[in-house]
Amino acid sequence: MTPAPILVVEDDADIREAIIEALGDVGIVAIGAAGGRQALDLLNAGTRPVVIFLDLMMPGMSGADVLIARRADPTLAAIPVVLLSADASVGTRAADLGATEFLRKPIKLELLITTALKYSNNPETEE
Amino acid sequence: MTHPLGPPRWRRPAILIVGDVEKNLLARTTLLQRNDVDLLTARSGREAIELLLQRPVALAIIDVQMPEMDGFQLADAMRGIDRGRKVPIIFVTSTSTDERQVFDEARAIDFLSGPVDPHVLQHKVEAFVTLEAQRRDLRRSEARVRSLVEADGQAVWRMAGDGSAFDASPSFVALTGIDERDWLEGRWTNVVHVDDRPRVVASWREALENRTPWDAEYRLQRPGGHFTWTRGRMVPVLDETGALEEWMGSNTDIHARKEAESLRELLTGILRHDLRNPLTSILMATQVVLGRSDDENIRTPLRRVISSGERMVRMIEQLLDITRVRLGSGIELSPVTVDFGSVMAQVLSGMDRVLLETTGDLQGSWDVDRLFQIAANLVWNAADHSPAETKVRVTLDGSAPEAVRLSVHNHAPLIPPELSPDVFEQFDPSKPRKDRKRGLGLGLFITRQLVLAHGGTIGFDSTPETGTVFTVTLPRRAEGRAS
Repeated sequence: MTPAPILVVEDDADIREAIIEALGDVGIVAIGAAGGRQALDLLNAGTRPVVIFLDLMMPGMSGADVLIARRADPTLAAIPVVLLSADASVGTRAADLGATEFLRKPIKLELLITTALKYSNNPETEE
Repeated sequence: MTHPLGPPRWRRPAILIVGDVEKNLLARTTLLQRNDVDLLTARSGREAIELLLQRPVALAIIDVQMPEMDGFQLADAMRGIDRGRKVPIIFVTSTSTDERQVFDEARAIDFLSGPVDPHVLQHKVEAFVTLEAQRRDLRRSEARVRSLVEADGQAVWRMAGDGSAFDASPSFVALTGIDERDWLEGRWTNVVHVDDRPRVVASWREALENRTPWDAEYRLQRPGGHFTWTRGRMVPVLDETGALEEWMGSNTDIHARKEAESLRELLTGILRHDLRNPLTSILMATQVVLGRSDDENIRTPLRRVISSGERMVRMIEQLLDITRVRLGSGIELSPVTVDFGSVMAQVLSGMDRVLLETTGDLQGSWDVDRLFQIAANLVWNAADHSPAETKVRVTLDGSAPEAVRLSVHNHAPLIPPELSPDVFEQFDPSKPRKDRKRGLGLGLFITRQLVLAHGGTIGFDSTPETGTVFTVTLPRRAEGRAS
């Protein structure tokens, strides 16, 4: 299996690439998926990220859909998910959907990096 | 012979007296003379018909025995003309054998036989005239209400207890262009937009069944074929015993309101997604570049880009919040156990002007998102309204058992006492505030709503010496939707 990267699921390419670049600047490997469908395809093909940074609002298969699919699959449920959203109710939504934690958009770089480092350093410990 | 034709609009009801015996006619006109009715006399059936063609008649008193056309034949002939069809008749006869025939005539309201007792006739006519005057008043006031409602671009209609059409509704026909027959035969749903039809019919049936008022918004076809939004309402009309007599209904044109609503939804959608995403990517990319440079000549302008971008983000948040509060949908809380300190850490991330002091236990049951908004609004507000080189001091005090207190202190210019009552008010677009250039003037209004929703209190203190302190006290257990 490939070394576990971080999976960034975000339909807006500019935001997705900025997150990947920001993580790259501190030495964290991240790969991108442009939507929920593509993310699930990667996961089903055996990609095992240490954490998924998942955008809530996406056309087609949304972040909520991915979390619902994740709940039904024990191997996927073991991967922590950080929900990303500009929705004012992101905290409540994250709890309702069973996300591990959440980050508000626009994302503060400092919070993004501390969150990412937490999972990169301790890949086993998170629920 | 009198032919009181009267004014073109017949102010007084007319009574038509028909008989071939001159002295009877004279006696009856003398007997029935009153200032609130016109008396018309006819010496034959043909003369009676001629009069009926000229003006409406409220009551006919007809002698059964007449040469040429007798009273019953006249009644038949009256059926053939518009103004005669519904006229109630009092037959007068000298023989009792005519009685059965009288009762066959549906319009006969009374029957006098033998020599007419003047008092009896007078009494009957008086009772009839009184009743007729009441009916007229009723019809007039109904017509007034109808024309008032219709003048407002509305339609009014009546339905029987089972929902079938009670009578014609010219205003509904005018509004929708529906065929009058279709209305009368209960096919009004034909002019309801096909997408709205199932919902409209279901709620209408439910109202009929439960005898409860009906209120629905849906699209109705207009005569040109396009659709207009309308509000349909229907209320049960009960008689004195409480039994259902009929349904009164109306349609009001609400198209302008519906259009404004859909425009607002469009704008809200643009704010929510289309504007926020590019702003997020601008801020992300700027932060990445900022992290790659040690050169203050590059970092300073980048920080300005970020602070302006964040201000824009806050304005968008406030606009979205204000639409929620304005819509009266209220603030729904989803309290969970949360540490105020960790929420504050999220707010303060990347803000180097803020000093945080915490004491005591900061755990409580609050809505994590609303708590973030309360803290962020106050901190951002304090930063925006104080000189850039000064610090903002934030204190979280959890030493009390029942509540946690947040205070945000800055060196803002004094809030003038005369403005104090307005600080938490929603800004009035018609009189823009002078300090609006840094924001929309909505932050404190929304913050107060969020604090109140948690059962808390908010206040402030402003002096030239100490600056301005906003203080929020939140009970540790917010009431709200159980989560």
